[in-house]
Amino acid sequence: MSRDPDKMNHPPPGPGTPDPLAESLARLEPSPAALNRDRLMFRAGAESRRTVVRLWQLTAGLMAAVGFFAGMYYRSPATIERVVYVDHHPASATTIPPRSPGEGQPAPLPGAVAPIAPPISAPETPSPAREYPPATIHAEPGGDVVEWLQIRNAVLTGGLGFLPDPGRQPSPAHIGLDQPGSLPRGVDIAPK
Amino acid sequence: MGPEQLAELVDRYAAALVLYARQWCACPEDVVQTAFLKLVRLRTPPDNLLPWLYRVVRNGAIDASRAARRRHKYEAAAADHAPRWFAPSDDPTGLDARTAADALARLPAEIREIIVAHLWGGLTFEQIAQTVGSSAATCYRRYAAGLDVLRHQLGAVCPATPTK
Repeated sequence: MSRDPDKMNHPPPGPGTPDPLAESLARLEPSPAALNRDRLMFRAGAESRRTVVRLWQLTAGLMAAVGFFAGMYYRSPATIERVVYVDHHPASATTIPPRSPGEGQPAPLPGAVAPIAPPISAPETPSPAREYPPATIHAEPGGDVVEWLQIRNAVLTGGLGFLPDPGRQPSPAHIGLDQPGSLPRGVDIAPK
Repeated sequence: MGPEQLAELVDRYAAALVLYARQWCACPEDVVQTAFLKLVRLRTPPDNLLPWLYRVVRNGAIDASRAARRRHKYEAAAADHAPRWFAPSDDPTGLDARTAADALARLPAEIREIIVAHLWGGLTFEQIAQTVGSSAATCYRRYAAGLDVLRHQLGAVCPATPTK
C-alpha cells in the first residue's frame, strides 16, 4: 500500500440515494460545441497522413542526395574553354622546288596561286635546256595576289621591264598612271 | 485511429470537453480541436482515453488562458460574447441554466473542474485524479464541498449526509 496519505484514502462509496442537486445539474445539457466537425475531420485526416508524406519526402531527399554525390563522383573531366592568342607568322613565300621529270604532279596548295608561267617574249635563241629560277608565289591571298596580278598584267602588256626589282621601292606596279616617266621607254599605259 | 472512431469520440465527448475547457479560456473549441488532433497524431492510442483527453484539454485551456491574459483587451471582448455554458433547459422544474452556470463560475477552479468532469464528462474520481494530478479521495472531498456550496447558492434542499 502506498505511504502517501492522499493515496491511502479511497474515495468513499457514493450515497445510497444520489444527490438531487447533482442529478439536477447533470440534467443540464452543455451548450453544443461550436466545433466545425468537417474541418476537424479534414485536419485529422491530414495529420494522420503526415507521417506517410514525411516518409516519402525523406526517401526522395535521400535518393536525390545519393544521385548528386554519384554524379559528382563519376562526372566526366570538365572541358575548360579559354581564349588563347597565338602570334601568327605566315610564311611569306612558299618555294616550289624544281620538278624532276619523274615526279608526279603535286597537289595544288589551297589558297595558293598557280605558279607563274614563264613570260612569253621573243627570245633570240630558244634554249630548251634553260632553267628558270624557282617561282615564288605568295601564299597570302588578298593584297599580294592583287599586286601579283598587277605585275602580271604590266608584264604582259609592257614586257619584262615591269618585273619587280628587289632593290628598288616601290615596284613599278605601284607607280600610278600619273607617273608615266618611270615606265620603261616605249611603254605607254596611259588611258587613251 | 480511424475516422469512424474519431467521429464517434467527437460526437460523444466534444460538448462536455468544450464545457470543461470553457472554465479557463474563451476559445474552448480551439483547445478541444487541438486535443483531438493530438490524439490522431499518436501512433498508439492511450490506455485511458477519456482521462487523457481531459488532461490534454485542461493543459491546453490553461495555456490558452495564460496567453489570453496577456491580451487583456481581447480577453475582455471575448468574454462579453462568450456563449453560455449550458443550453436552455426545457424542464420547468429543473435548474435554470444561467443561474447554475453563474453559481458554477463562482466556485474555485480546482473544485469546479472536478464537478464539471464528473457530472458532465462522466469521469470517475479515479479518472479525475489522473487528469488533475491528485488523489481520488481529494477529488471526492472537493466534489462534495463544491456541491454544498452550490446547494447553498442555488437554495436547493440539502440531502441526507452520506454516512462514511
